[in-house]
Amino acid sequence: MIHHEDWSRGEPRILAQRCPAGHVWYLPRLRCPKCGGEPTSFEPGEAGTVFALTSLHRRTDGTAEVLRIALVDLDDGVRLMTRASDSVEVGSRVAVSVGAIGPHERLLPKCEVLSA
Amino acid sequence: MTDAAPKFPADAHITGVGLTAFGKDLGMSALELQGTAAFAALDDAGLTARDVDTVIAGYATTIQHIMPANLLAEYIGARPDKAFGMSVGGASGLGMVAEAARLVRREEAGTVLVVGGENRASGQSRDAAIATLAQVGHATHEVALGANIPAYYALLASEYLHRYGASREDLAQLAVQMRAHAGTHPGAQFTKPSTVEDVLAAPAIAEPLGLLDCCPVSDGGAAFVISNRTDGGRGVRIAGTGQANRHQHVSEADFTDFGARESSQRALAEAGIGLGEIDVLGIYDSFTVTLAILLEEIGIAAPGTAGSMAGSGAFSASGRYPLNLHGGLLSYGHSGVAGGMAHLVEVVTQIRGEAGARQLAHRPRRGLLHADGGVLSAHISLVVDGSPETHRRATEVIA
Repeated sequence: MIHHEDWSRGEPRILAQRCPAGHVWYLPRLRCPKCGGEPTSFEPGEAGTVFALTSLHRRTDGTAEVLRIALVDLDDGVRLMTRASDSVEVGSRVAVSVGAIGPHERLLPKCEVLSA
Repeated sequence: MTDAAPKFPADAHITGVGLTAFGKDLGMSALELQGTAAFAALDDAGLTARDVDTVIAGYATTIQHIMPANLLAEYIGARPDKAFGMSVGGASGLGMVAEAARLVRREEAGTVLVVGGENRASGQSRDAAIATLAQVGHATHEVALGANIPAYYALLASEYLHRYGASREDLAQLAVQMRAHAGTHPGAQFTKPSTVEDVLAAPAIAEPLGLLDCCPVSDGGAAFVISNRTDGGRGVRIAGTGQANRHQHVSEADFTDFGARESSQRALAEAGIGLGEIDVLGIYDSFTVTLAILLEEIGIAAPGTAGSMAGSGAFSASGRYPLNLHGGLLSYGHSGVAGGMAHLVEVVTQIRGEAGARQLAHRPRRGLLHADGGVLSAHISLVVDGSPETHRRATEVIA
């Protein structure tokens, strides 16, 4: 993917794409999935609402951990998967950012409750 | 009844079914499970491997062979004109049946063997199975977050419960019903009766889903023979097929329209019947929430009510819509492609009146099957019809 250097490529930013017709989407594409238009990448605003949420109980190699994973609808019109802090619930207004998470300090999108 | 006449030179009939027991270690390789199921289906149809002109085989995570149908064909001694694999996740089984029906209806095949099976539980570590299956998620923007299949479906469940103000108890009723059915099938992996309290008390897997909201990982195999012959009325006609594919990843799914409605409506329209004429159901149930959403999108249950319908007995053997009478993925077990085929084996067995102690008191004539692959990503529906009357009608329309 050209010119889409986001957190998945080690850059501390969330990117979405849009086409000249105004369609916006999150998962990187070569062309607009609705109309085939030429995409450009942009940084969406951080504010959004939690659409769905799970606490995943992972038991691997004898260790147990709980990962909170959310789908967040950003006000700018795209839905993305993020890690979620403990106070987040379905319907919460949240701020989405990129953080260094876990023992390997991997860059991942996360959401926290937006302070009023 | 609408007049959606078959427009094909031939009808496709399921004339043989094969299903192994499912369990955590059957002591067989993937190929042995596939072969066992294939020979059971061929024996059932009164055929040998040499009678088969087309072999379709589903993928197996424990083989990861690039030519699954050719591998199986050689193993069982078949020398088919056509042999190809299929990979549509949990929808692969019905996908292979739909493709077999398409070939037979157009007289491009006469006798098709459809097979799925693998030692998914015993042939790899639990972590390896979970990691393989997680890959239906988006590699860089979902899997990277640590998500896996239970997590994707838990996101669906979280939104479902929130939207309808429903509770875990509602979904639990579906698990309890599947377990009750499995108790009547000698091949089922889990047969001990469960209660709603058991489901709620089970360890959390991906909240709101607990262990008993999730299907197990199993060894097992299943197969069908699909033919242009009716086999003296013992064949069950494939009356309609439908498919829909809207998204791959949960991040891009339309939670108000995953595709099951369109897929099932297409199958019913092709069969020329409505839901009211369906006697028995086989609906994919990888998780309780999968079953709830599919039942509601198909229109069998009103939005948000699949669980309470289960609680009132609507899906029991004496209910309006007997559902997954073998116990479904949740309790018969889930060995990948074969898991999604077991529902059809049971529906055909019930329509033939050969289900023994589980046989419905009123032998069903028409069944509706639906499976999904991925995260409600690929949808495939099937209507099967064992009625001699409809056999005749279809023949007359073609003539």
